[in-house]
Amino acid sequence: MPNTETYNDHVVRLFLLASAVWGIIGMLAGMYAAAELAWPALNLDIPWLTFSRLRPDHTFGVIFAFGGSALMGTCYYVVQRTGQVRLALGRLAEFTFWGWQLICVLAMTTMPLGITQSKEYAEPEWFIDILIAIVWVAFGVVFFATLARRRIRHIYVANWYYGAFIIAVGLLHIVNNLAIPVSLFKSYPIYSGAVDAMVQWWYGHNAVAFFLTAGFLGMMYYFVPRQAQQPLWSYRFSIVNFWALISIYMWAGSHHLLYTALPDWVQSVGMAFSLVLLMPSWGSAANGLLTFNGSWHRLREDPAAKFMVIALVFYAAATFEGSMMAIKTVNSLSHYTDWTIAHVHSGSLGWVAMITIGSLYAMAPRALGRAAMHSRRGMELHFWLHLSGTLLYVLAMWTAGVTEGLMWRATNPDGSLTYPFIDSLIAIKPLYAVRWFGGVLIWLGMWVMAWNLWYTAADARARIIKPIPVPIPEPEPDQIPAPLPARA
Amino acid sequence: MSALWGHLTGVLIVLMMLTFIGIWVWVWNDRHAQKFEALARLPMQDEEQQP
Repeated sequence: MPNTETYNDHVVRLFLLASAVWGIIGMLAGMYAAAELAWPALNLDIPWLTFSRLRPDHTFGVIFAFGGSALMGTCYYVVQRTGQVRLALGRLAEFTFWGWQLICVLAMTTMPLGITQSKEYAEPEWFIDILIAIVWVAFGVVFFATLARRRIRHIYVANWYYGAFIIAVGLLHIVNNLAIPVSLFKSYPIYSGAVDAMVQWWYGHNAVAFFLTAGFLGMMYYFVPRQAQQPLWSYRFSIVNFWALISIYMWAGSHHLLYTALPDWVQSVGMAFSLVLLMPSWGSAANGLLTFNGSWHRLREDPAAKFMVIALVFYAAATFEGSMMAIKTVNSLSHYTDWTIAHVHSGSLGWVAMITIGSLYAMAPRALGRAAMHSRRGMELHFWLHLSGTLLYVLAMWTAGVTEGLMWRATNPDGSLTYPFIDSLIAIKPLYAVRWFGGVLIWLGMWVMAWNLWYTAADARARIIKPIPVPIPEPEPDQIPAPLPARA
Repeated sequence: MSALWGHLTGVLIVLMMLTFIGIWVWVWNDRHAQKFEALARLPMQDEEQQP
């Protein structure tokens, strides 16, 4: 029987395009919001252009629109390759694409109009939340249906991470967004007071854990060995780290609420789990970096590998920093200062964006029917723009954060505050300008990537690329359930 | 905190520790060595299949 089963890379290409576009839009919102902090007159007294309205557009745009599209695209790519099977339910997969784009457009247009639940990272109102739940379940169905049809018995570790990401994000989203709608554009959460805060930060921190960590670790565990052209350093270690990471992360959320009305013991639980969390975080970072042992020369010739290695370094650095900041005494200095912003962005720009960009550069040529990206120098330029922008951003915000923390806690011998609040703002103003400039560099880098992808996609646009056939392996003798036969 | 609750959490902690140690023992079991070796190489196939 001739083998005609091919990989479904069509939906992968759609998500690839979407993530390039949303990356530019989401980072534009961030860049403008950063400029407003340095030069407040830039809001031009237009309500929808104020920082408070733009900020959720930035966070939703980069996390859920850019990151989400990249995660769903790579997830569909990886689950097919590591199961050696075509994506199940092609139409439903395409529905997840259009559904997710509709959600992103709806969220990004309603939030600046003030239609918001005011829950951080969960701002969209109830009707968008229902759409998210529907599309998310469909995404899970496509993923697990594909896994069920896989021809390789063992489920590759990247799929465990993607699976945890899908299940946990669905759970978090639904529980945190339980609300009673009072009109089309307004709802009230069913929780109140300290319980509402705890549910929100259980959600908020696990959005970091399962969206921004587990999902991107799925990317890492597939694309790092692929790009290093070396086997994963320790497959055993990856399994231990998986179970440790997902069981510990769930309990760390209360570190966002240290020194608040939350019961003290709940705060201590969050702090303790955050410290233990350093182990599996560094475990994965080490596993990724050691995979490059023996092929460091690839960093000279392959900018995608360079993105990945620096991403892993930032992952190790940001998770160490996060564990330290969860210690109550450190948190008393860092909380409510720009140190938090520095930490978030060393994680999101350094780790998440860089592993995403590296993975997209690794995946794009294959999905677009080319041997390599259109321009290697373009990738190189993007790398240096992104890295220097991230370093400027993070160093500026670290300095600003420590400055604020020290000035706010300084007291005179009689117990009164040494500095009025305005003094701390004046002290950090130049750093806000540096942060904005770092953002500009990163945003320009995203344009370079979009340009590069556009030219790499020339064959795809002309619809002349051939689908890639699935290499059908020898069937496992005792696989339960038995894999489905290749479609004729 | 009641005594029963204290015992319950204690048992739970022991169970979780045993599970964690169990995972280590399971992955380092020689039975899986060959399979894990092959899996660690799985991502490299995509590049090798390139025409």
